[in-house]
Amino acid sequence: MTEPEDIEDLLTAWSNGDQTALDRLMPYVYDELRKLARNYMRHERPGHTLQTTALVNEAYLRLVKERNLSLQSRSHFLAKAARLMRQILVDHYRGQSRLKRGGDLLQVSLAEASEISQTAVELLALDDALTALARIDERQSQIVEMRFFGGLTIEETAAALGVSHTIVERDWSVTRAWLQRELLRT
Amino acid sequence: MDGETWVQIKSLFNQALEKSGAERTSFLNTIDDHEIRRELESLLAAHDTGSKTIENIVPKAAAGITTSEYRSLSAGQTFGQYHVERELGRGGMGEVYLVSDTRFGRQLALKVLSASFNHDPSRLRRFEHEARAVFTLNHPNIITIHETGEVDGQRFLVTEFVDGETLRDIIARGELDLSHLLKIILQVTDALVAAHGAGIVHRDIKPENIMVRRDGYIKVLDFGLAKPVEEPVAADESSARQLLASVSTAPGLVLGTVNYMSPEQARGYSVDARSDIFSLGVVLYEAVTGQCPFSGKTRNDVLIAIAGQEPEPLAEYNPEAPAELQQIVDRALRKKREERYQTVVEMRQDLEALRDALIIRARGQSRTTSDSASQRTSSAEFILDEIKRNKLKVAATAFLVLSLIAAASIGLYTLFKPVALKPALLSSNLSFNKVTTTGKASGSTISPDGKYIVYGDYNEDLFIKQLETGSSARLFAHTDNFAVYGCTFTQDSNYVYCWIQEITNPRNSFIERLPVLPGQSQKITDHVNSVPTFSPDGKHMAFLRFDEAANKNRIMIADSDGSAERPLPVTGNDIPLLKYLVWSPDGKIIAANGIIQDDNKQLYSLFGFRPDDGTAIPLTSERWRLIRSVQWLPGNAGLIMTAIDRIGGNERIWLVSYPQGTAEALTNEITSFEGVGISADGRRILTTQSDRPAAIWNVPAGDASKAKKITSLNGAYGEVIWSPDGKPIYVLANDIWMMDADGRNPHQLTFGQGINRQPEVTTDGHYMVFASTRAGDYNIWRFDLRSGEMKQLTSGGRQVTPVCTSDAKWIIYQSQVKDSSTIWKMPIEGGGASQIGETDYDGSYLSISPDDKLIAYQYRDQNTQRIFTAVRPLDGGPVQGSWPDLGLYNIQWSPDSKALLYADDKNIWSQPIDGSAAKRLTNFQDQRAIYFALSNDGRNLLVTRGDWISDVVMITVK
Repeated sequence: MTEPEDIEDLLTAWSNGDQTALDRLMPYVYDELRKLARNYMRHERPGHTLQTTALVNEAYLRLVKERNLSLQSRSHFLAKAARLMRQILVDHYRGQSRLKRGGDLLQVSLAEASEISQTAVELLALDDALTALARIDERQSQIVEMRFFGGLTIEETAAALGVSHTIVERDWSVTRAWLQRELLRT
Repeated sequence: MDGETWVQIKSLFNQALEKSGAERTSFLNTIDDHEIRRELESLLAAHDTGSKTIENIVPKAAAGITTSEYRSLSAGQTFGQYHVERELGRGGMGEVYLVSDTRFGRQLALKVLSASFNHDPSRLRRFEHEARAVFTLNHPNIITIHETGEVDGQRFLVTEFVDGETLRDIIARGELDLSHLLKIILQVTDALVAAHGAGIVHRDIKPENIMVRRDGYIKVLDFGLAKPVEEPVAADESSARQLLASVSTAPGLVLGTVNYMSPEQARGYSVDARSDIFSLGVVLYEAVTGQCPFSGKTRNDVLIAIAGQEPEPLAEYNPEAPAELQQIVDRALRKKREERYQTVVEMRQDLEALRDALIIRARGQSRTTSDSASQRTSSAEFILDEIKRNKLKVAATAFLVLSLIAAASIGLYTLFKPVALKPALLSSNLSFNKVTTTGKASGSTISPDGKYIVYGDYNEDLFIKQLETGSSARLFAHTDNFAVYGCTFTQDSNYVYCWIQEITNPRNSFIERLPVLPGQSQKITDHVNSVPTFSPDGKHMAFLRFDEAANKNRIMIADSDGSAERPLPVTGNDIPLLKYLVWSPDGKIIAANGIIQDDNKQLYSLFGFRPDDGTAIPLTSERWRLIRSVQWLPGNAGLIMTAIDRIGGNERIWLVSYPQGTAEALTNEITSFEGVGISADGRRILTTQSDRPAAIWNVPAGDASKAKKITSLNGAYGEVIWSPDGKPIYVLANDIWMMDADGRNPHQLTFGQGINRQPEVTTDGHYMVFASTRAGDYNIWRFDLRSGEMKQLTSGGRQVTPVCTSDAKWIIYQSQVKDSSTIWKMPIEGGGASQIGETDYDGSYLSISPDDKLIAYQYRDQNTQRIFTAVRPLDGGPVQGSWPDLGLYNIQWSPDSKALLYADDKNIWSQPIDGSAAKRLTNFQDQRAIYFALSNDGRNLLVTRGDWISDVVMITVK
């Protein structure tokens, strides 16, 4: 195990152009996202739906602080955070679907188990569909990941991918239809 | 599909999207490649469904993760007074942890409810309503809720930890025989009778919610926690189909949750107790046949079957199912709830009759079913153990033919009676929180601004606690010679006025003013005999002063600094008043707690007086056995108090309306609440809840290191004895139970009629005699352990503490009239009672020596007020010896008739009647020893040991 790196050093290195620093930064982003997710509901009004967008953006603001980064740098950060967000959710629900059949569940009624499962089934199906999509169209898969899990705007998505925003927009309908169909199959 | 094809498809898809109808069809017809065309068509179809589901998946999943990660506790962490041992599970409801209560070392289950629960107001309201009701419903077959509360906006629930398995597990093993099943189901009916009696519908009875503890007790879990089906009402069959089709189908996961629903639940109607009866019918059916009566491939099929399909006869799957069971199941599973059993009590009676019939059949006796039915409430369940078991095999799966019949129309019905009193208080939006955790709280009061509470502890120290910060400080340190009898805050919440007495000189009884913030205390006035109360403007106070010449309390009015005091000349009411006075919020009435002498009973009621001229104002015609403390509700809407309304009853919270004077109990019988305080806005109510967790221990040779806990007791418990064949018989929740010596196989001997205490079994094992209020006051009853016959032996007045002579021919008991008691003797067969001796025994417990020569009895000495235990010949000769303070509970003779055994604080002692020094029999270091029984051979000692916990509980009205 290596010594944990200083988050400030990583940010400085990254803003000075060291792209590997961004990857080394990601464990901190991961922790920040989880912490934010936990705290989010505490001050939330009833009925408010959580947006992962808000989480990812807040993680960015908290970590990067007032550093004035280019749209491209910011978008790279957000794109990677979106991937982490997806990973956090998938890991969480994979864990739950394991727990569901566990022996220690005596005191959790089946109603509860089924309630987790509905969300778990959908989320894991979406993850599978995105993985399948990546095999035929990796860019579209990334676009969906950034927009769904990271809440990136079209501009940010385009900047992160280094493409024009018409490319991001153009295939949105067909990608959505494709995912919709894949989910209905499961 | 390869990337190239996909590029083609994307382009064609975008072109097709711009076209519609026939134009699009002809565009698609131009595509030659079949694979591409099929792909396009399916994508267009998916696009046209227009569903938003994809966009919702991530936010929903994120909400799920945040709620479950919100307060993830891990082993070793503490949560309030609870120490987390491990996670037991997690679900949509929240997370469940096994925790230990750091104060008492007991294991409990902590449920931290998920925030999604918080965000569903109707579900939350129902949860809080039910949790509050179950909180006060301490039934041995209902999982005990110890606490509900909120930390940082996060709701949590602390329940008893049930170490055992679910009925689902037992059914799955396929080893369930009918007699065992009936034992389980009868305990479930007991739980439901208690819950329904308190207005609680379970809503989710299913094998997963019925736990069988390792020692045999059944615990029903999750009252009211289940999420109801909230679909709209379907009027006819076709719309029912549509409706059901719209119920989401999570593949392969949810079948378990709808199988036990009643038809009215499946339709989203309001449910009542009869819905639980239906669900219990489904459980019975499944346990006997291994099949769900209503099944199908999908959730929808099951719901349709519940609404309209008649289940196959039990015999279809299990040829050994008795006809009576079929009748019971049929009646429980009627589609129309009007045709079902209307109460669980009725269903229970039929189940008991079946159990009895099985016993008789197994014994090969020729008694008819109706004979046994007439005795069904009294037959001894333990006989079942001796008989050949009626094995039922779990049958193989079979295919069910669905046959729909017309949907039954069901009227709306509500179990909850109309709310008559303060809606805010009776609304479901209440939370209960413990604000002290020492377990030693005595009286408490809350400041008008709701920010501070003052409470005492057993040592009579007084503490003040700031609710917002949770910080507390000692307000008054007890000295050996002064005791605080009660406190009240001033209207500005800046001071606490305490009524203090010098213990050795009770005439030195005064009010001391203690500042909430650190500062000097000051004596306000002398010769008081009550807690003071303040006028709404805070300028005046009222208190009671004992007038020795008139031998009664007088109401005094003074300025709040103690000056300008004057007696209030009371007219129109000469009732003796006690301890509590409360000035109404409008300033026009002082309410007081007074005593009415009724025959030889002292009854308590509330009386009002005008503070300007002392004119009596009637408040209520209701009477209680005891009123402890009383407070006004805001706006003169009524009074809230804790009171006991009947013999053996617990102290409950009551509301008395004003000016109507109607009274209604807010809490149930089992848990005791002592005293109330209320904030000025009425949103915070403070009371003291006392709990007596205890357990029965088997202590071989009195050696604590070998002591084994054989069962834990929740709720009111009482005496314990050995049956002649070595089984513990004990009192729990006002009924008499029996179990094996290792604590397994507990079963009830008496059922839900009055209070049943003080069991005693004849040496031949033929009869159990006991004291019961089933016919009014306590009388002596006899239960035939062989035939199950129940007989009332005494009537009129009150008779208690029956004991039997060793020859099993006589019962000795006490008859109590007014404050005195006499001892009587009656043949075990009943009739012909005669008084023994002329002495006024004035006693509590008594015991006959095994040689039938001596009687030991307890009495209170009028001069010293101490409890003495005396020994004299049974035939009435002179007292041979007398000892003070030999315990407060039962006494028992040693097997050799030479010593008396008693419980003193932690241990059991033996006092030889020759007057030599008492010997300690056990060596326990903690907990109180309360009841005990030594076996005839002197080898095995049963001891009920427990703690008395009382904590201040805050009820918050949202």
